[in-house]
Amino acid sequence: MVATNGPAAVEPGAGSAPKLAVRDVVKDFRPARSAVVRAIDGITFDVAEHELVCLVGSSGCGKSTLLNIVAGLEVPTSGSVEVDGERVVGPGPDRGMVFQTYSLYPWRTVAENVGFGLECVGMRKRARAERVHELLGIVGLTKFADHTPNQLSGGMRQRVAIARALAPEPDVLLLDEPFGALDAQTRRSMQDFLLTLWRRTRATVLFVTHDIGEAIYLGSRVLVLASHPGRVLAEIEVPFGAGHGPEVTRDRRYLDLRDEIEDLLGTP
Amino acid sequence: MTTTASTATRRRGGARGRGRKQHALLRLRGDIPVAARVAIAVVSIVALFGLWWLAADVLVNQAFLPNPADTVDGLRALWESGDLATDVQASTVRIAEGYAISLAVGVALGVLIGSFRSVEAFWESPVGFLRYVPATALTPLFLVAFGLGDDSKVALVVAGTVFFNTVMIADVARAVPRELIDTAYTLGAGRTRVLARVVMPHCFPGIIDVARVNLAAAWPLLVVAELFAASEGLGYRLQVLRRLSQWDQVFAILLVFAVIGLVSDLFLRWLRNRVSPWARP
Repeated sequence: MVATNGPAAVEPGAGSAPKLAVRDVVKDFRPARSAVVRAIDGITFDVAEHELVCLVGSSGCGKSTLLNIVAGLEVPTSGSVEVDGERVVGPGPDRGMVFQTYSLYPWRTVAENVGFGLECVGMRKRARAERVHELLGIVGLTKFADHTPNQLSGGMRQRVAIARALAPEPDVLLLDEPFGALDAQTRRSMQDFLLTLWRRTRATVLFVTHDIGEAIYLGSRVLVLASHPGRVLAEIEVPFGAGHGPEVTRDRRYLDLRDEIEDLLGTP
Repeated sequence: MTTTASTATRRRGGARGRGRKQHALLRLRGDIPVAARVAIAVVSIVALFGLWWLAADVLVNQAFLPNPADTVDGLRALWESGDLATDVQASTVRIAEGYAISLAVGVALGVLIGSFRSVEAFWESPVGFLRYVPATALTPLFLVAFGLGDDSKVALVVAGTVFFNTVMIADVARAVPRELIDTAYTLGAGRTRVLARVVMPHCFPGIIDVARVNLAAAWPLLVVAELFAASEGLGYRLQVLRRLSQWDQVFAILLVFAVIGLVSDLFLRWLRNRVSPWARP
């Protein structure tokens, strides 16, 4: 079940080219008046099409930095990221991103927020309205189309952010601790929401979290990252198919996996 | 080891209950009843005018300090003479022109400085340097360069406020959350669109607040310019009335400044809440 990461990259899927390929990514930071800090030290992994992969690690493992590099918001010191064999050189609508802080535009309504990416690609107003309506249906917020973000709860805001990231039909959806600011109950229901959404849209998802339970619950594969510097400790195939629900959290294998990752990360 | 009973009691509050009782009006950042708020505000206004009256009729009792009633009479006289409307109009137009130019430059430059490190690096030194040149000291220069008409006054208002507007608006632009900008980039927006659709809307309420603060600094500059050379305007009128020793009307002009300032501030606040209801405090 657990494969420690060797020098060769583990090939997921049945020999098909990966949707997303992260190759030997290294990231150094140069804080003013101090030595160079290596945040990420040679991370390599693939994400296959329609796969949901979770990156789990404690603070300092560079998981957010890695996601920013995949998004094209930061440039790696060395190494590369490829989507469908094309090298990532900057941010684009093919890699939708959702941040922990929702980052909705408070001066725009829910529908206008979701439509932002469609405006960027120059979609006509009529087509845009249709697509936004469809997406709001998918995330269950049709009735809130004309609300402003500050009228919504945390969970609803995050659903808007996810719909907005999905609007331009990205090749990969990047989620950076999207449920980190939510209370436990909302968090649980948002996890189920994401799983349903993923099964329905067949999106390719890279999900970053520090919550081990969340990573096992959501991911078909979990990459465990070590801190200082960030590197892949282990790659774990999660054994419950795609159709599972909350009952999985009482499954023996779920609990064993959780303990195993906790041991790997050195948390009690 | 043993603590005396009195110490323990004092620490815990004893018979008066536990904890430090919060003052009804003097709790830090605490809300106070609406009635108390209104009452305190009324007291302050009464105190202000009471003090003025007291100073005018008892403490100073000199011709150069008229009491509020005389000032109102002066205001009436000024209004009936027809000068007030002309002067208010002349000064307001000059302020409006100068401040509009100052804000336009301040917004353009400030937003770019706050958004691009390269633009910041270019402008930081010149703006930081020029900001400390007292604009009023430029008045004689501007009178020569722009003539005795409106242009020199407008120029002084611009010179005296544009750097403050720029520096403060740059801070507003720097406060746009990084993630709002990054989100737009990941949705396919280019630089221009991010500036127009994310940075500008986020900055608007902050820009209005900066405008409110520096507008108060624009008026003294205009008054100085009008004292030097003008044939109409509130600063010019002050000069004339002083020569005639019409102190009641001098004070009436001061009152007019206060009212214009208050009205413009209320308007800007209304505009802020109207355009950016999401940022209402």
